[in-house]
Amino acid sequence: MVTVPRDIQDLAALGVVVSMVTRNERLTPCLMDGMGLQFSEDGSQLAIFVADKWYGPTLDNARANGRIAVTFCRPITFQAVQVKGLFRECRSMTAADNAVFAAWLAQFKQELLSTGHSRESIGALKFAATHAVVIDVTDVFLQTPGPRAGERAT
Amino acid sequence: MSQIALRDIRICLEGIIPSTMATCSADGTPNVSHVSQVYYVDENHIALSFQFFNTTRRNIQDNPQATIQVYDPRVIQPYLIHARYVRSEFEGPLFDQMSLRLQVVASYEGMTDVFALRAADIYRVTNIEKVEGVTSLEVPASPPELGSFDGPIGMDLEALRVVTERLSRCETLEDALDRSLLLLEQFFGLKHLILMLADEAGRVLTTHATRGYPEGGVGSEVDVGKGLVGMVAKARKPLRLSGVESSLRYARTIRGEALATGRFAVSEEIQLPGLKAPSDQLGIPLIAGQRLCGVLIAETTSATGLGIRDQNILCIVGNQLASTIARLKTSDDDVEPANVAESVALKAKVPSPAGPVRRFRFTRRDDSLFVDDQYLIKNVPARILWYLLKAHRDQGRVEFSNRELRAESWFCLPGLKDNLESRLILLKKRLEEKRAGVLLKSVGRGRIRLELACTIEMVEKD
Repeated sequence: MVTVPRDIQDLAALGVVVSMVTRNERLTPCLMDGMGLQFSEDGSQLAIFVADKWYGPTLDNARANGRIAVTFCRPITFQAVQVKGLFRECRSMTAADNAVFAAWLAQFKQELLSTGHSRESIGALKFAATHAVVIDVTDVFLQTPGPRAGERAT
Repeated sequence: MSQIALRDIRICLEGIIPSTMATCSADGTPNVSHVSQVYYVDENHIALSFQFFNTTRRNIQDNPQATIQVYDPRVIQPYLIHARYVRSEFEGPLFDQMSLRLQVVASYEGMTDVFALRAADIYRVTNIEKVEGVTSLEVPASPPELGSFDGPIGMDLEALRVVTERLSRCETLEDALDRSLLLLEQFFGLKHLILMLADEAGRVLTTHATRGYPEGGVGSEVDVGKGLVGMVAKARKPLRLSGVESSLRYARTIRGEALATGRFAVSEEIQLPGLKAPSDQLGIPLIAGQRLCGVLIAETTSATGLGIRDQNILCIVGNQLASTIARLKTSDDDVEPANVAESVALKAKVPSPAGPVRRFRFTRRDDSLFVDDQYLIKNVPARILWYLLKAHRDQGRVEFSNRELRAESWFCLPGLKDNLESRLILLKKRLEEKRAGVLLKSVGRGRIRLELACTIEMVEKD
């Protein structure tokens, strides 16, 4: 079991940009945005909040072969981490998930504002998470640009 | 649903919002990472910078399929670009342009050793998808691009004709420098402009004219090879740096990581010229023949930034300006006095006016000149002013010819292309900007007049 360091779990709790990628049988990557994420208590699982309107073939791929990679990056500092894992489930949002999503959205909008985006464009975002994709974490890599990018964090 | 063309989303490739890139290894492991900028190559191709060996790089060698998510920065609208890696370029115009951009950002952060472009990786775009349901805002139409022939270029061409015509008719260097910036603002709406001229050795650029800054900044210097201005001068190529704030933040993160790990040597950060937080910067080298005359810089804080159209316009005006500068610098201003009256004026004695006392202090050690303990100017322009003030103090003279100044060995002017005219312009502007109580005025071709509004006290130190 992989244990995710505390500082990475803390980074995940901020208003990070989240992207999730799967691949099909022809090894074509398929990318979709996430809207916040949360590690399990022991750090062995990661829930990524997503909207069903953006699924495309991403979830079908995950169900078919299980392989998922997720990156999250803080817009202000470019601190970034990539998590690799195996698909466990896709479930409806719980009350606890919704609370995490709401906190993420507030911080995410603040990050966008700090990086120069207009209030109008931020206010027009139609973000609403409908499901949580849960993965078993198999690897964690540092992705903050610089000499340590690509190193294992676990 | 209409197909999206790469040119329709070109604004997404400006690096204002970092992009995300997904690849997959040969054994089927997906990978996702962030890329600082995606470059537009042509209608069907994009390029990504290859700086570090990493998983993404390994994956595309084994499996060329990639998906890159980019954003329209105006409304935060994402698009997915599906592409296939086709080749890497290790030299050539595209490589040079990408490398130059990287080096400019690196130079600002003192990391030219860390940021080296290994290759420009070229991808063929196979499909572009708009991610629906992200924003309730409509994506605005992209601005027309001069030279693309699908925008209304008629008005730009008319404006360019007028601007280049007026520049080509300037009769003094000072007029050409100031007028060029005025015309760029009037006809093309460029509000923040800096014009720097190169010294004879091509090592240093000095600001000779600015527009759109509360503090003029005339006289500030940049070494060739440093920052946007210095790199544009060194490479002799135009450079448009979009998403400056984001690029510098990205570079600062790398700098912080490099310092934390101690794996790379980094030097001091250097200050941006002009605006404190520009969104975009554009630098154009001014080249006449084989000679670098200077660099013209445009900046903006506007969210729409500076585009391809602005770059093309600035290049065309810059080419005309370079020719004009070269013509006016080499024109013979070393003329004899035209008549007896002019000859007498050069020798005439004018008493110093009564007025407040201003203390001019010249330090020989570093050729610097201060007024009431405030720095005024240094090097050759400082020597010139000191010479003029001494001639006034000792002989009461106020008019001088360029020929006389050229003959003065103390200025150490080189024999050819001495840049005397540009140094006099610099001196005039600094005197005006600093309200030194002394002004220099042109009074005919090759002649200047010292105008005093104060009593001068002169102190000379070693």
